[in-house]
Amino acid sequence: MIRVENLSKQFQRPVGGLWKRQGEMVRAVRNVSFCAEDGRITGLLGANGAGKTTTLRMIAALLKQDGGQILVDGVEVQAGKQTTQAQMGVLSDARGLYPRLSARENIVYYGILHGMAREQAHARVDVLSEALGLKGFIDRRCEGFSQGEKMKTALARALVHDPKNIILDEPTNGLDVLSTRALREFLRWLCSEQGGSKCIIFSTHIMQEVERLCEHVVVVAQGATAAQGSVPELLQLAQETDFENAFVKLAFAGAV
Amino acid sequence: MKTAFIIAAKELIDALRDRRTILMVMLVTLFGMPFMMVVMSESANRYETQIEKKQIWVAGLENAPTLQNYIERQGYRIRPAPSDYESQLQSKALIDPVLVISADFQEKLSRAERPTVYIVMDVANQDSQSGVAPLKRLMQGFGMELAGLNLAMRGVSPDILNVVSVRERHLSRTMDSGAQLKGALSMMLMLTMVSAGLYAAIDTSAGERERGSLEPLMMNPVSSWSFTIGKWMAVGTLTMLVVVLSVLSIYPASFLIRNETMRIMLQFSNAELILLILVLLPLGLALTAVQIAIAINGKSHKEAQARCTLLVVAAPLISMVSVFRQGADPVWFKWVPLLSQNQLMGKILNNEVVGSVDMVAPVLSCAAITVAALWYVSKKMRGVLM
Repeated sequence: MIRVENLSKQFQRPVGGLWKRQGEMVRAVRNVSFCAEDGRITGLLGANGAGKTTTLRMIAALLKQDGGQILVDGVEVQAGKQTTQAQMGVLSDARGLYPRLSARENIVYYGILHGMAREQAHARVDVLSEALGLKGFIDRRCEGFSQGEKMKTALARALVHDPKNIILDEPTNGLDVLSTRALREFLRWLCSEQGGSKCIIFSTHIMQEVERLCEHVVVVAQGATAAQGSVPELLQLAQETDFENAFVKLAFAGAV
Repeated sequence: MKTAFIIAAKELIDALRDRRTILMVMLVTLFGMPFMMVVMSESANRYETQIEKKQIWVAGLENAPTLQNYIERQGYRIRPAPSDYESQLQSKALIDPVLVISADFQEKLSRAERPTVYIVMDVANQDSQSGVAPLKRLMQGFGMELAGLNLAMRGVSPDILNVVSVRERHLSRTMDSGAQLKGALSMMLMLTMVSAGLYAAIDTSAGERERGSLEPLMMNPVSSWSFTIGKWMAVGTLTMLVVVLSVLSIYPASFLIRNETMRIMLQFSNAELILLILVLLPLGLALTAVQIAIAINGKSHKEAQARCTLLVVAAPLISMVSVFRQGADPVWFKWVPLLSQNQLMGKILNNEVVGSVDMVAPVLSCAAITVAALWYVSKKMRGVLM
């Protein structure tokens, strides 16, 4: 379970030129709070620049928050510390692979870094390559992979150690319809009891995906939680029948 | 520590699959050292033949039969200079200096009027300069002989001209004569060391940032120290591999050397070669750590390369400081990496004894630099993402 309370983060905008000068402050995240339960897919829905990625990076202990608290299975996340990372599988927006290693080598390397035995990691790769459709290119070097192949490999890499909590930042980018469907099925299975009742946070700006997949939706706008609930609850809240309209109403209430 | 080895193994495989790294290793080891040695030996050969060939170019020899007699008695072959010797000297078609004798030479000589001869050379031409000294000596000898004869005819001992007897006694250490070659050899090894692992060092730090693999890597529950040590071990291994191959390439390269003196000088025992590698080992590892520390701040290969160029240029230059100094090296030299290794390499190449005491200061200073650089990398590795 991941609990986020009153999260905030601001950055200093870099200023160009020969000498480093102090740029103005930008508030990327002002006040984000939500709770992602186990066995449930929680969707983080927001426009570009709403603060989704920054929030996810703070949950992944890659960025230090200015205010608020993040608890992963009751343990407080501390930026730069590895205490909560073992139980977390993260697919962030930086998803670079090692081009001179094969997809399998890339995934197994991360498995071993997570403390798995080599054989165990290889066995896990076979399971993931079946579920995510990596079979055709699993033993090829990543150099020259298509966008979709890269994405699938990065996804398998994030899930190799069978983490309890899964954070996916726009995981369907670059995937075709069939792959997106397969991924959706796989995520549903991961949430089920057979799949281990994982806690999944899924960030996207695609309405359809949220409608089809997420049981709980957190609408993020201008760095703050604008609304949250299930899709029917949000529709009711916005008094709309179309989810896109509901989102626009909830996210840009002041602006529209 | 086990994790660090796993990381090192992955980094090494990654680097060895990289064509650019392999090309660098091959170029430096297979061609660098042998090429340098062949060039050096050829230039030594040229210098030696210059001294040994005993031939001089003279313009206007018909004006000086006495001088011709003297020169021929000294065993020199006289070759008449071409009429356009000046332009030929400038265009380097003619490389030796030319002795020019005026038309009234013999006449002035017989009247004891001190005739003048000219030694014509091109100052920009190295080879023609080296030929000047033998010519001067020859003319001095001629003058002495004539003066001695004149004195003898007047019943005065020619020894009156030699008030002081001057002789040279050489105190050079054993085989110290090839200083130039040895200097070049140690500089080449330094250059090899800073350039060998450079690409791998950049790829493992700035490369990770550029391709966006550093962020996912930092999400593994592994300490920054393990990552830093692992990466450093991989690049260090690669660097030292190149250094070992470079040192070993002295063997085959010595077959290419035509100059006898140089070939004898480059005959090292196995123990000496091992010692040479041992001296370079701490420096190689320290330089690797510094390279990674510099490169980690670069967001891309290009940026990191620009930052590291400074080190590539500076390292061989620092090692050359001792060349510009005259006299004994000051004590602090042995505490400065590069300078101290240069000193030790010089000793080994001169067949002097290098004891374990000599190694203490260089090893300590390199270890301090390594630890400082690695500490910085481990701090920065996660820091650059925040």
